[in-house]
Amino acid sequence: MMRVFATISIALLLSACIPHSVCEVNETRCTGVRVEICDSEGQWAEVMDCTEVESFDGNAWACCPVQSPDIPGGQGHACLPVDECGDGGTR
Amino acid sequence: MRTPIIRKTIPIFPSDGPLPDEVRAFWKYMQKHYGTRVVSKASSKQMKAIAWALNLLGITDKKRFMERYVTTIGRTIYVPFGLGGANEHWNLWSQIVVCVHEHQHVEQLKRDGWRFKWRYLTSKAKRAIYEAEAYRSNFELYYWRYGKLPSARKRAESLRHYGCSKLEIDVTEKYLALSAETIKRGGIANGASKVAVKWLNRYLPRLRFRKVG
Repeated sequence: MMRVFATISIALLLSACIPHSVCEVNETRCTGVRVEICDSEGQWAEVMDCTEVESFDGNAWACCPVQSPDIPGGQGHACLPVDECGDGGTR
Repeated sequence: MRTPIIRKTIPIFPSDGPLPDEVRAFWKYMQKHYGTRVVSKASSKQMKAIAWALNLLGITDKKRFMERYVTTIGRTIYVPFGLGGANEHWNLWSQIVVCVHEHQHVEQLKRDGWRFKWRYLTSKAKRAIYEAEAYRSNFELYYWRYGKLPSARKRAESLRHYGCSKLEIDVTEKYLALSAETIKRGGIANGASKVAVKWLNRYLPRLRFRKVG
């Protein structure tokens, strides 16, 4: 139990260290086959690797820009079937 | 890997949800695949200590932590229900969904090792991303079952109980909304979801969403 308290205490102390921002929070991009989002610390984080997406119909997937009213801001990047990506996709 | 054998039962309302035996068989299958073990949360001194600490820090209420959340540390999953025994917070389908969610955390542990534990504990930003990824399993299973997707915002809001602020909730909402674009086109990204859906397609096909007409 003391170990649990010690771990939580150290974690709280170290959580005060914030890295230098490299992107705007909630910005998205394709990096090769990966969809990435800028996290709340201004660091790129992976959302999805399109080569790892599986589907029943065996579709190939690519990282593409996408527009939808369901996405905050109306647009972003996502793994979509390659035939939906057009020239903008990377797989 | 041998697949589990389920006793034949005749459901009274086949579309209502899984049966207790089916929930237990599913958990057994996932545990065997990932090498995890299940412990009752109520019987764990460690969980009670964490509940006390989170309450003291103002992150989440003790009772809520003990009753409404399943917690995974390493490969031990602490559950606030008996497997296959529904209670006021956990119906049988939600016990299947949370099983997949928690095993996606095990996928993260396998992938990132000690970094996963460290980042989860020390960074709100990383904790939000890890939870967003695990909640993607909830979305993937919801789509498998109902052919539609739940609200990304509503799901993201639950991160308030994880010590996250509006900024992390906004990122989580967008993460899930982007994931939803893949899921509604028939894609599954999460490793634990892929493992789960193999079993669900074989043993619980009656629960799978089917388009009519």
